[in-house]
Amino acid sequence: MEDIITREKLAHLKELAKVHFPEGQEEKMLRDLEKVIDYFEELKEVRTETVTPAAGGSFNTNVFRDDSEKKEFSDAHTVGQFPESHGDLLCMPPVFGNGE
Amino acid sequence: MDIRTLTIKEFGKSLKNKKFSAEEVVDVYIKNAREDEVTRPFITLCDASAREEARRVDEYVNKGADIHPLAGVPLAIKDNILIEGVRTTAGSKILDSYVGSYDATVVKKIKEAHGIILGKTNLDEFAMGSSNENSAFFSTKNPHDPTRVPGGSSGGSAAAVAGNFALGSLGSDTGGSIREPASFCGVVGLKPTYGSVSRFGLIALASSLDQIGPFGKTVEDAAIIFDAIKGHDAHDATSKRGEYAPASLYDEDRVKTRTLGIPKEYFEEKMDKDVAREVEGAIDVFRKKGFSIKEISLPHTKYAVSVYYVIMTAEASSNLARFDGVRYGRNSEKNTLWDIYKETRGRGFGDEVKRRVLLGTFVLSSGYYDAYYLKAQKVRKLIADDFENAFSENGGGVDAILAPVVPTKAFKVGEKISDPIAMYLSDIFTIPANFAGLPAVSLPVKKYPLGGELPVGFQIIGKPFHEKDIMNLGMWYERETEGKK
Repeated sequence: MEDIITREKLAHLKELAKVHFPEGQEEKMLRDLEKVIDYFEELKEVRTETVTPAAGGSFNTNVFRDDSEKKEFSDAHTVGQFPESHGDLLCMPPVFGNGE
Repeated sequence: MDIRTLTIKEFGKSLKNKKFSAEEVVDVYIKNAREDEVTRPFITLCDASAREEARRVDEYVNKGADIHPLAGVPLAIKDNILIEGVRTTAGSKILDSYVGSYDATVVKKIKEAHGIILGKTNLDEFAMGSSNENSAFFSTKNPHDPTRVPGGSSGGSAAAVAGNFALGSLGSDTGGSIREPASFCGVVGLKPTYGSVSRFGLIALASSLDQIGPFGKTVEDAAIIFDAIKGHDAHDATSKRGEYAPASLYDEDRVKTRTLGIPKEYFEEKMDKDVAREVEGAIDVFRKKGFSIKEISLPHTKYAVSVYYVIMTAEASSNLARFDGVRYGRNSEKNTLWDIYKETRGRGFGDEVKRRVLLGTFVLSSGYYDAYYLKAQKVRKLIADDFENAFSENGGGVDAILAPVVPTKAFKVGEKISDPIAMYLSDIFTIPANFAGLPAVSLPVKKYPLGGELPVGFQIIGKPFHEKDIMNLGMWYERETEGKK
């Protein structure tokens, strides 16, 4: 069968998923992904033309709550864990940079 | 008296009768956990808060106040469930120094019941694994045989109860992560109905499948914990409104009227001979005592593993996008946001997490979505329909289903770690209940003393929100077999 996962596709997936790993680990990852995706092939034999896909895990209708402001978390445990902060604001690196 | 081998009911009685104090209990358990170098169920111990809570419980007992059945009971919590002010790692380096910013609803309920939280238990990283070997910190070992895995992902919580490091514990089950370790460790583990226990404060793996549930030494213990943590929560939009009967309330007259189904496909899969024999022995106990037992068919079971590794990885890749190093856990000196994401996640996530995030990204990506994700959601529906048919009056007409939990006993440490498919197949009998949102309890076929033979569990799967049925059937089984096996 055709290679579903190629080295190029893996590089693209790494970008999409925002995970970096060293070159040396790519071969093993490629093999593992191929094995698992190959396993998924068995799904092709199930006839599903008339099946409505499942959506979510619940049998219930959605539950809404008021859109009101609430203070539920302590600053010590939220702001306190920011890598860099200014008062109770989170400092972020530039979103646009290096042509991204 | 060995406090560590009591059931929750016996514990409560002895505590009220002042045979020991809650503080003494905490001392025994913390000392035990600190001295242990073999099983290692805990990532973090909560000595100070446990002692503080124990003193409060002792005050209530001394005043003769009415206390909750969980008051003073030493419990352990899986480390993907948040406790305010306590380190919560999810077994991952990316959360190595993360401190919970609020109490999960289940933790809040345990605190309100004055249960004692001894510590946070080890798990496969982000609950991704069936052996505990994917923890970024260390692998918990099976208390029955330290050369074997305790199962996963809630292996720490199962080993804590089996090894007498806690009287009960909480885990989470996405595709079998409570029931598989319960079976491997010879304890009881309940995956409740989707929507019966709030997921607020659980670090999500796959939100349409995840449920928090209890481990106990007995079915009744697990039911007592379940009764304490269940219920509607406005913080979880999928949690069910309305109350239903306590699962720990035993009703022998009703239990004997239950019709049980045996899914033939579960016995056609490759299964270890000893496991098959023991599970069939358990079913015979029900048969010999006159339960109505029918063979049923769940024909799409064999696709469960494929469907699971499409849907779960898709949801996980999305859920884990939040771990980006921006608000906490940064592990990068890079200057741009993009580079911070990639490096923090690259260094912080282990191999299995990366594998699943990449797979999930793949099955959701343009060009492959229909072939994998959409197809899997359709087969998931067929698996759920199989159960609906088995439970419907015009179909199988059964009230509960008896089945094996895992095709094998606890396997050796390292045996499956390099072969993802072999590892994934451990979940084949547990995944289907998650797809259909059904409650399922794994209980040991018999008592397995530590150091003896390896445990085997069987599961009882019920209709949605019928935890009482399956826990009562489990209690009946324990009563029936106690002392006889």
